[in-house]
Amino acid sequence: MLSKLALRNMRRSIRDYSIYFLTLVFGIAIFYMFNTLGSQEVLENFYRLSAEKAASATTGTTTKSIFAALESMLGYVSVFVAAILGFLVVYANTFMIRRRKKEFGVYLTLGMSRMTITRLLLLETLIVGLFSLAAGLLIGVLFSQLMSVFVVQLFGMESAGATFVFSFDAMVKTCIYFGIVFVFTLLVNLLTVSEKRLIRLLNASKRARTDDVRHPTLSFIGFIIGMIVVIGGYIYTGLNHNKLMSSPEALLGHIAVLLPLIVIGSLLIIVSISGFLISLLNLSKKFRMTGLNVFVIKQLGSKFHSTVLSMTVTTLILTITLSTISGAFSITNAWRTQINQNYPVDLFITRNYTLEADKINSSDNKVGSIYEEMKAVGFDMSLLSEYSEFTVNFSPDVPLTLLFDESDFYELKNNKQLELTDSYSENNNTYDSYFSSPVENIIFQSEYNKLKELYHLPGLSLKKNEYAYMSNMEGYKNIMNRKLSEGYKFDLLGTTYTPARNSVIVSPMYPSFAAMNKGVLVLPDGAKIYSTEEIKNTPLMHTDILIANYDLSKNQKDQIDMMFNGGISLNMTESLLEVHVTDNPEYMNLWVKLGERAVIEEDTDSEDQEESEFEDEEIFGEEFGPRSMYIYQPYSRYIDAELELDTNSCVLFIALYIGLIFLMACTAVLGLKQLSDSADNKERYIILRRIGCSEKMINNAFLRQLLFFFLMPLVLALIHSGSILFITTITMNTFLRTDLLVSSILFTMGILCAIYISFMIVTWLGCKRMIHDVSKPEKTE
Amino acid sequence: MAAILEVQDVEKYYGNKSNLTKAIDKMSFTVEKGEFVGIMGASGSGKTTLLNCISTIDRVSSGKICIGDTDITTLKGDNVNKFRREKLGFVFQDFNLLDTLTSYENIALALTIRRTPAGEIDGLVRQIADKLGITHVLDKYPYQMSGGEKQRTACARAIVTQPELILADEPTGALDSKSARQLMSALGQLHTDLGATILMVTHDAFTASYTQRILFIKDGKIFNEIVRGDDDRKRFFEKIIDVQTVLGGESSDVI
Repeated sequence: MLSKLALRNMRRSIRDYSIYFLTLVFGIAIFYMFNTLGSQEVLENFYRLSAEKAASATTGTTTKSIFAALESMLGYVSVFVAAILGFLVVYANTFMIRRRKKEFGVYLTLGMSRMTITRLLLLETLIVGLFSLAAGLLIGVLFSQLMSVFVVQLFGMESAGATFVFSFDAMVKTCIYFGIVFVFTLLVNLLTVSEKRLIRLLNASKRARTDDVRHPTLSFIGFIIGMIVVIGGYIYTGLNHNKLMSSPEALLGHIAVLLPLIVIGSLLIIVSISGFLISLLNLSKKFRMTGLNVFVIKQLGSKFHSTVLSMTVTTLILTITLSTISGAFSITNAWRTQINQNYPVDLFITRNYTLEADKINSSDNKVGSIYEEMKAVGFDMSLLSEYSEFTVNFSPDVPLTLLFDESDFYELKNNKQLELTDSYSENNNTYDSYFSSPVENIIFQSEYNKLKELYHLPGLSLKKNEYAYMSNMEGYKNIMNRKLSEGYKFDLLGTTYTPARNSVIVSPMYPSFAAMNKGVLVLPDGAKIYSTEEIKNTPLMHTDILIANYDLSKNQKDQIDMMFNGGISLNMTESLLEVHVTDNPEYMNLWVKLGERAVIEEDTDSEDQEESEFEDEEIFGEEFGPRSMYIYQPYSRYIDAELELDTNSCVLFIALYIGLIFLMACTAVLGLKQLSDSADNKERYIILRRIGCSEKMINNAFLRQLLFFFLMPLVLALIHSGSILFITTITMNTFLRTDLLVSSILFTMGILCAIYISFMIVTWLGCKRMIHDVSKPEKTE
Repeated sequence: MAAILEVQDVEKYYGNKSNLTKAIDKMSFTVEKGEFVGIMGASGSGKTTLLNCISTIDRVSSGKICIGDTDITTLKGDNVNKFRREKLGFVFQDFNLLDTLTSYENIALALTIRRTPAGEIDGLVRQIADKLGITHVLDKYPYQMSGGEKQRTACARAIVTQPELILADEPTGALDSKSARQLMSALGQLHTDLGATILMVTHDAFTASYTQRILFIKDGKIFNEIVRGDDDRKRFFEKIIDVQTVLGGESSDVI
C-alpha cells in the first residue's frame, strides 16, 4: 500500500521530481566519469610514464615532482568534485521537499502517523535512488566514451588512450558515495517532516520569501574589500612567480593561499555587485518603469542568497576549468609548436673533433663524412629519406666581442638570457670573462646552402665582404636584428664585413626544446678566420652535423630510432671514449665499429661488449695532435622531444577530462537552479500573462535573468583565469614563447566559452518551454 | 450607448464525446458602455468559464464574443495578449499580485507593459491609489498587506490603464465582510466617477447588490435577469435573494 503511494507520489509530482531526478542522474554520471579516470588506460599510461621518469637518471627531479604534484592535486580535486555534487543534490532535494511540505501536512491531517510518513519517505528515497543510480551510471558510461572521443578529436591528441572501458571500481565508489548522500538527504527530509506545527507545513508555499534590501554603500564597501582580497592574492602569487616551479610544495603552498582568497573575494564581489547593481537599477526610475524591468530586478533580488551561492560556486568551477584546460592545452601546444620550430628534422648526428683547419677538405683526411662513415660500418642509411651534412667552425680569432659590446651584455643579463646558457655561472658573469672566451659558431656560405633546405631557410648569396647572422634566442636575436637593420659593420682580419640582410635568419642550429641558438655567423666562402698560419696548423675544434628525416614508409620511427640511438662520447675523467649502445645487439655492433673508426691512428685497444672503452691517454696530452678523435652524438626528435610531449599529452588529457566534467557540473548547477526557479516562478508568469504580457515580453524578461546568471560567473571566471594564466605565462616565459602561449590560451578559452554558451542556450530553450507550459492557463471547473 | 461587450450564441464544451459537459450552452447577452453588470450563479453553473472566455484566457467552442469592434474569438497568438493588455483589466479572487513587487510596483507594472512613458506613471499610480484609499500601503509588499488592501491594489492595477472593460472574478471571495464592503464601495465609486465598464462574477448577493444589472446563470444558460433601476441597494439585495431562492433552493449558496 505504502509503495503504491510512494510510486503514485512520484508520478503525480513528476515535474518537481524530474528536476531532482535530473540532478541526481547528472551528479551520478559526473561522479562516475570522474572516478573512472583512475582506471582508464590514460592514467595507466600516465603512471607508467611517471615511473619511467622517476627511474631515468637523465630527467631531473623537476619532472618527477610535477608528477607527484599532479597526483596529489587529483586527490584534492576528487574531494572538491564530491563536495560540489553533494551540494547540488542537497539543493535539489531541499527544493523538492519545500514544494511538498503541504502534501506532508495533508497526510498528517488525514491521520497518518509521522512514522508512516518516515517509511514513505524512505521508500521514495530508495526508489528514486535506485532508478537514478541506474540511469546515472548508464549515462556516465556513455558520456565517458563520448567525451574521450571528443577530447581526442577536438584537440588532436593521438597518443592518449582513446578507448574507454567500464570501470567497476568507479561504479562501486559512486554507489557508496551516493548512498551516503541519500542517507543525508533522507535525514534532512525527516527533519522537515518533524516540524511540530502542522499549519506551517500546510502553509509553506504561501510564505513569501523576500530578502532584505541591500544597502548601496554597504555593497560598495563589500565590493572594494572583495577586490582588494582577490587582487592581493594575485599580486602575492605574481610576485612569487619565480618560486612557483621550484618545488611541488611551493606550488601547492601558493595554491593553498590563493584559493581561499579567490573564494572569499569572489563571494564578496558577487554579493556586492549584484546588490549594488540591483539597488542602482532600482534607483533609476526611468529604467525601473520600463516594460518588465522592475519584475526582472525583483526576480534577481528575490532569491538573492541561493543565487549568490550558486553563482559563486559556478565562478569557482569555471575558473578551475578555464585555467586548467587553457593552461594545459596552451603549454602543450606552445611546446609542440616550439619543438616543430626548434627541432626541424627527425635526426641530428653531431660529430665533434679537433683537426687542423687545412686538413678538413684535404685528401689526407682519412675520415669521411658522417654519412659515409656510418654507411661504411653497416648502418642502413636508406632509412633516411633526405639528409644533408655541414660543418661548423670555431676560431679563437673570432670572439663574441666582435658583435656584442658591454651594453649588450647588460641588456642580455637584465633579460635573464645569460642564465639560460650552459657557460654562464657564478664565476663567469662579467662581460670580459663571458664574452671573450667563447668563440662564434661560424659556417661558410656553401655550408649554409647545405642546411637551408632541411631547415626551411631562405637562400643566401654573400659577397666577399658580407655576413649574415642566424639566431633564435630572444635576447640575442633582438640585439642582432637591431644591429643588422642599422648596418652594423665589423673588422675581421683585414676585411670589413657589412650585413647582407637587415634581419636575423631565425633558425636553430643544434637540436633543443627551446629557442636556444645564441647565434651563428655566416661568412662567405674563403673568408679568413684564422689570424696566423700557426693557428691554422693547430688542431682546432670542429663540428660536423648530419641532419636527416626518416623514411617512414620503410619503418616506424621508434624502430629507426633504435638503430641511431647510440652514441660515442668522451669520458673526461678517465680519458676514455665510451660507446653508448641500444639494447639491440645488432645495432650495438654497428656503434662499436663506428667507435673503432672514431680514433684515428693505429693502437686501439680491446673493447668490451656493452660499454666498449677505448683507452687513450695521450688525447689530453701536452699537444692535441697528431691524433684525432671523433665524438658522435645522435639526437632524435622523437626520443628527445616527442616522448616529452607524450607525457604532456597525458597530463593534458587528464586536464581536459576533468575540465569538461567541471564545465558540465557548473552548467548543471546553473541550469538546475534555473529550472527549479522557473518551476517556482510558475505563478508569477501566469499572473504576468493574465495582465496581458506578451510571450515576447515574458521570454525577454526571463532571458535577461538567465543572462545575468550565466554571464556574471563567466565574466568573473574569465578575469580570474586570465590572472592565473598571466602568472603562468610569466612563470613559463623563460621556457616558452609568450606569444605562442597567449594565442593558444585565447583559442582554448574561445572554445570553452562557446561550449559554455551553448549549454546556456540549451538551458534557455528548456526553461523557455517550461515557463511557456506552466504559464498556459489551467483548466477550470 | 454603444455595446462594449456582445456575447452571441457562445458554447463551451468539456470532455469527450461519450461524456460531454456543456459548461456554457448557447448564451447571448450584451453589456453597454459604463454599465456595472453582475453575473451570479451556483458553483458549476459556468460563470467562471464564461468570464475566462470573455477575458481571452479560454477559448469558446462556438459562437462569437465581441469587445468593442473586435471579435476576440478570432484573435491569435500575441494579438490575444496585446488585446488583453490594452482593452481589458482584471480583478481576481486570489488577487494575483506579484509577491516580489510592492503595491506601487504592482500597479505600475500594468502601465509599464503598455509602454506608458516613465514620467507619467507616478502621477497615474498615485491618483488611482488615492481614489481606492491605498496610498499608505504603496511601499508595502503583498505579504505585509491585508486582504482588502491587496484586492484594492489589484483593482488599482486593473483600472489604472483605463481599460474598456474590467472583468472581476469573485473579487470579494477571499475578503472579510468589512473589507468586502470597502472594496465594493470603492468599485462603485470608480464606476460612477470614471465611467468604467465592469463585469463581475460572484455568488455573493451582498457583493452583487452593488451592481446595476444582474444575470443569473444556471447550467450554462441565462436563467434570469434583474435590473436595479432606481431601487436602493437594500431593495436590490432583497430582489437578488428572491431570485436566488427561485433559482433552486440551494440555500448553502445564499448568505
